[in-house]
Amino acid sequence: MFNMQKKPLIALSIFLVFAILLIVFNSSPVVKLFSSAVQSVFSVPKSIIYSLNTGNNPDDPTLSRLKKENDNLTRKLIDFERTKRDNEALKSQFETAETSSFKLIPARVIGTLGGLSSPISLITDHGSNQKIEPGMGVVSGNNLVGKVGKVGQNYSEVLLATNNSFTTLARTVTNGATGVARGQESFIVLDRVENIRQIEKGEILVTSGELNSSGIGIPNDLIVGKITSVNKIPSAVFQTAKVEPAINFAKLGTVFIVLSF
Amino acid sequence: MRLNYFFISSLFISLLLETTIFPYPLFYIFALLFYILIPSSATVFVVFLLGIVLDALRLSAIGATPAVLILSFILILLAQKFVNLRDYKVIILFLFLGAFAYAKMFNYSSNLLSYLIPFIICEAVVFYITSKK
Repeated sequence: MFNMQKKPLIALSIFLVFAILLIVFNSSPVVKLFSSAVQSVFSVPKSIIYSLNTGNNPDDPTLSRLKKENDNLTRKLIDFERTKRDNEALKSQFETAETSSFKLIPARVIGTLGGLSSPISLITDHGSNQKIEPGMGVVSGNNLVGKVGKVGQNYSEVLLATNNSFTTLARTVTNGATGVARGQESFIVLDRVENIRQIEKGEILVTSGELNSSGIGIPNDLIVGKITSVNKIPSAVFQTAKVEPAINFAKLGTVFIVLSF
Repeated sequence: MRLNYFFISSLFISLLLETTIFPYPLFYIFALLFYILIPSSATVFVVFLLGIVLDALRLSAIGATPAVLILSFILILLAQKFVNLRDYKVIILFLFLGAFAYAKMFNYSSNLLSYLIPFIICEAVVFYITSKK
């Protein structure tokens, strides 16, 4: 059964050298071309398998209706708070009201990475060929999904808001307490919130918005999730809060990548 | 020969499943089993090629999976001087430790329990196949 070759170590070493060479020359045109061809070939079967799993069949109609209503109410609450804030800003002549119009591109989810029940990344069928770049925000409705991580020729990885590598500036809708939202695999933590600021359980957390020098980033006022618990130690400088994402990332079939905003 | 086809098909299916709906290092497990049971250059070549495909689908650095797998094969080769690889308990241990380390390295689920159960199933499959030979 174990008919080892005479010099298996030498053979394995040769293959290892090839593998290392591939890693070293990862950005060479030949490797990119191969990667692009593989991604194109597997795009359709992956898409079919993923959609079979997430279930394209419509959800329970009552549940869908309630979800929609909930989304609308949350949106109205955010709009109200934003209008209030903008009015205040207009009065003081420091800011002007801003209505964002994002340039979005829909991308089909064709895979997940991470835990079996709680993914930390999504793989989408859009890559650098579709002008996707790392750092672009990813949304679903008014909800923040995450941001683009690695980008291949035809695929890109979306780091979900629950991913350990994900961070973004965020603030609570009602009290405007700002902090940093960090992924913690199955939930999000709102960190670095000054202890003097008021944050409460049930509050909705939205993005504060961030933009890099290339004009890529995450728009503001996207729903990150809902605060489920607050950890406040009186003697500490900062307080933290646990945030549950507003959407089930494992069930997303299509997401929207923010090209510009 | 039939075992060869079984493993090549398993590797191919694993490749599709673990990059879409089942983020679990199935490919790594089947590749190790393949090499333990059929340690030939052809096995290494097939694993190498499919490993590159896996890297492209998972957006990892192309060559990372084959490099880790070949290092694991070298470890197996060196370890068989000290342990008996015909012993299924040793195989289980190898697969379990290897897959767990691989999962940590490539951002798969690292829940310990989710590894124990499938390993026992894999062991049962291998035992069934080899006992029929």
